[in-house]
Amino acid sequence: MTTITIDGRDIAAEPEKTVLDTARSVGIAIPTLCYHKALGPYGSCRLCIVEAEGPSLSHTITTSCNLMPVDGLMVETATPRIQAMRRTILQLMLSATKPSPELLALSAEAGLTKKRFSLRRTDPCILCGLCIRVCRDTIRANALSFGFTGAGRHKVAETVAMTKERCIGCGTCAAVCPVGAIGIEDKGAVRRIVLCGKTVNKLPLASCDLCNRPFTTEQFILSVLSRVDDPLRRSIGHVCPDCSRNRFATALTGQFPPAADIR
Amino acid sequence: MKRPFSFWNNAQNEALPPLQHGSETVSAIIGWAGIRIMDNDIDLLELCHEYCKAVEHYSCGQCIPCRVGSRVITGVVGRMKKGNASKTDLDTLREIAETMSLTSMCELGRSSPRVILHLIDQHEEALKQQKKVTPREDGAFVYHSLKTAPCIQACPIHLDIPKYIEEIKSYNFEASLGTIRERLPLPGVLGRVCVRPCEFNCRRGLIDEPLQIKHLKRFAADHGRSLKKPALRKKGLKKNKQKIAIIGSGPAGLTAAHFLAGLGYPVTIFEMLTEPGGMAAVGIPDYRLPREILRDEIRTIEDSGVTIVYGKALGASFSLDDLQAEGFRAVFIGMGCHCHKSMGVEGEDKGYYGYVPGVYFLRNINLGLLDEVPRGRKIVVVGGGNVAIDCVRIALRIGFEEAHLVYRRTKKEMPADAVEVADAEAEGVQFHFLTAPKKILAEDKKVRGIECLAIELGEPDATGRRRPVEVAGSDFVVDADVVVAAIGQEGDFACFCNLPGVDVTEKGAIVINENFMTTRDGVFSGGDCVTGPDVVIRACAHGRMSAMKIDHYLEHGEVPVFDEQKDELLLARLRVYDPHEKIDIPGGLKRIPVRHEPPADRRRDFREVDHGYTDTEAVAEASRCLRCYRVLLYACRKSGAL
Repeated sequence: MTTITIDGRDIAAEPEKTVLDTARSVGIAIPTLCYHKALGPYGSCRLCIVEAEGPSLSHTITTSCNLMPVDGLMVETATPRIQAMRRTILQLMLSATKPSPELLALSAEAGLTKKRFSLRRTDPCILCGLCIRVCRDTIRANALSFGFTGAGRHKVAETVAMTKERCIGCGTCAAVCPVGAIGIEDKGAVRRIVLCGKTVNKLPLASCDLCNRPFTTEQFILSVLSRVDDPLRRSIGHVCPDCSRNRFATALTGQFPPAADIR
Repeated sequence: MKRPFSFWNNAQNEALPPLQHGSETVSAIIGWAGIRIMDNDIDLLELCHEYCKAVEHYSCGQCIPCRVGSRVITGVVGRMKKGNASKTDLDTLREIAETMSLTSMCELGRSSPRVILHLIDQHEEALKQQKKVTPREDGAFVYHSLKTAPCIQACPIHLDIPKYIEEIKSYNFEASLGTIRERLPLPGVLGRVCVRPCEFNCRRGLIDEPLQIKHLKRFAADHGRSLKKPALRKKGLKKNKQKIAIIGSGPAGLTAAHFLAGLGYPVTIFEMLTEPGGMAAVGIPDYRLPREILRDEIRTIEDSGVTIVYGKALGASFSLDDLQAEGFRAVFIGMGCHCHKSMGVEGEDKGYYGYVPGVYFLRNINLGLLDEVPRGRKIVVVGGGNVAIDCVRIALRIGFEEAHLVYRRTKKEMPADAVEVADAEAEGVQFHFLTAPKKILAEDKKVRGIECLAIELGEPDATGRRRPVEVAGSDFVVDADVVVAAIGQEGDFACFCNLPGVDVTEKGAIVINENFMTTRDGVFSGGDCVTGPDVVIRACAHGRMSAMKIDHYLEHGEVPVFDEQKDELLLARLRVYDPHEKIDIPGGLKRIPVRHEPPADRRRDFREVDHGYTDTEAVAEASRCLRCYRVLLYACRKSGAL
């Protein structure tokens, strides 16, 4: 255990846990947008900044999501200076996007209501990179990447771009997006991935073997099957979650009627 | 008129010498370390506005403060320039610049606004000097911006290191290799043997440890190789492109050939040996650079439209006139420096069996000519450079039981790479420091040992290293079957052939001008035959630059100094890397270690010593990069506008 000080409180921190996680675990709130517990730290939204000072670190401002605790580290999470900077960053975000309800809520907490600068950008994406990382690192589909439109080869990120052939239509990107810029719309037997209001991919939905209801994409089923060895689990690849729950329960207890009958 | 103010790093006005960009005088610069105004007519706000535009242009867009902040700043400064700023604009500027410099994700966003903050703090009145009446007479100055980084500036070929590291970090391994290959056609070679000036200029090293840039490059190269994709598509040769001859298939020649072939020229390389690669093939042992890696990369270059002719040496087999007669319109001489420096000790010129210069020792082993290599039980290598280390380590691998290295200074002064020295120690090489050779001892024309003297270190010499002083009467004898002299990394290298019309220096190096052309029209040169024994990456840099010069020469009949060269010199004056900088970034992230073959297993054969990074290791190492991009804007007077 490492002892660090957060907002004047001495806290025993696990050496492997970031300062952000440590602070949150003792009830100290630090706002974030690009942080997700399923993924490693990245640090693009810059909202989790804190003031830090340590044995080998003179007073500085740094992000807490990738700050690791060392003995004697002192962190202040909400000094007037930090709050002012967070407000500035939020104002920049508000100004550069079509603010999403999530961003507006976060801004309202900081006492901000309207755009301060007028910069042309008409979508809610803040280019935090969460969708890209979850697609690449967790789903391992690697269908999303930063894209750039203009002449600047120096630009790494201007938009989020989709490589259709790699997309398995799982919808994890939509689930992690902190500003609701990505949507999944199932209509009939087709799933649409909508990125900033634009349909970037359309995939047919596979139907459940038991109830015949379209429930997910064939690509997603294949991706799951490629990671599963257990024969019982493999056998329910094309069974929808409702039916498979029934089927599992039936297999375990023998007391449930066949799934098809329930529907 | 008010005196212009200047500051750069920590120096002020008078301490700053004037700057040149080629033949032009620089009127002003503004960048990561300050601002310098050397011409009273420069308009401060216009300079700042152009700089802000450059920062916005170079901002990568991955974090909010830099991506959006740079846009806001540009807008505010633009308004100030036009004279219609509002009262709060200066406060806004300060607020955004401060947030950007303290909270940006990478060093581009952190370093760029510092100068703006400094101006607001120290020279607020200068920023408020708005000409409110006439629209300014634009156009007296031209502004140029550029982006560099300490590692990029330290690299002789100026690879965009932060970019290819960023691409590894985002699992874009192929793109990373593409970035490297834009400037360097031998990534697998340099990823193994580069002396990595970049790592000694890595700012992460001021916090914890520098990045393993060399190993990241090797990772990208190995990944590309593992994909087994067909080599670069053979480019269709453009019509009316003139034939070009390259002498020597070493790193300089290969690099030049690669870029010239890429431009569509038919290129022929003339190689005197039977093996391509020059010094990279015969000067570097296989356990450091497996021959397959080198051959593969050469094959890729051949596939892009380069022909290699073996067994042809310039001077012996053909002359420059012959080449001209055969229709080669330009020649690039990229010969290596296969020469050695004599030790100046008694007995070395007697032709004893068992005494051999290091370069020949390595070359014969690397060419597989083991019959010509003297053998025995115990070897003594004299010298402290990389060649000496290669000789002792390779000796163990061809069957010597004991390998000793004799060096006249201490370990600290050894010019050899510290990593290699440690590897040699692990393999059981015995080092004798503060020892100088005096006499080669022989019996029946066969070496039996070397007489040595103890050394003390005296006053520092011109290179800053302490001068070795012999201790009188301290003679002692080290038995040896073979003695290798590997002290030839400096000094005389008069081993190039005499070429008509091509001037050489007293020491025998080919003389070139700043455009890499020799004194003979149409004949260019670069690499070791110009610099003397030097590192691979510098030879590649010469090859690349020569290729562009040759292209220009053939297209236009003359060669100018390129902007790239002028930028390089300007940046060298500005010191992109400051070894005394204090960086307030949390550290404690050690470099990801590279795995090795265990010394006991590897010391007897030629297997590669270092293992490459795995995907995860490479990404973790790449994530340590601070991306220390720096933006510089400089202004010169428009020609004719005075």
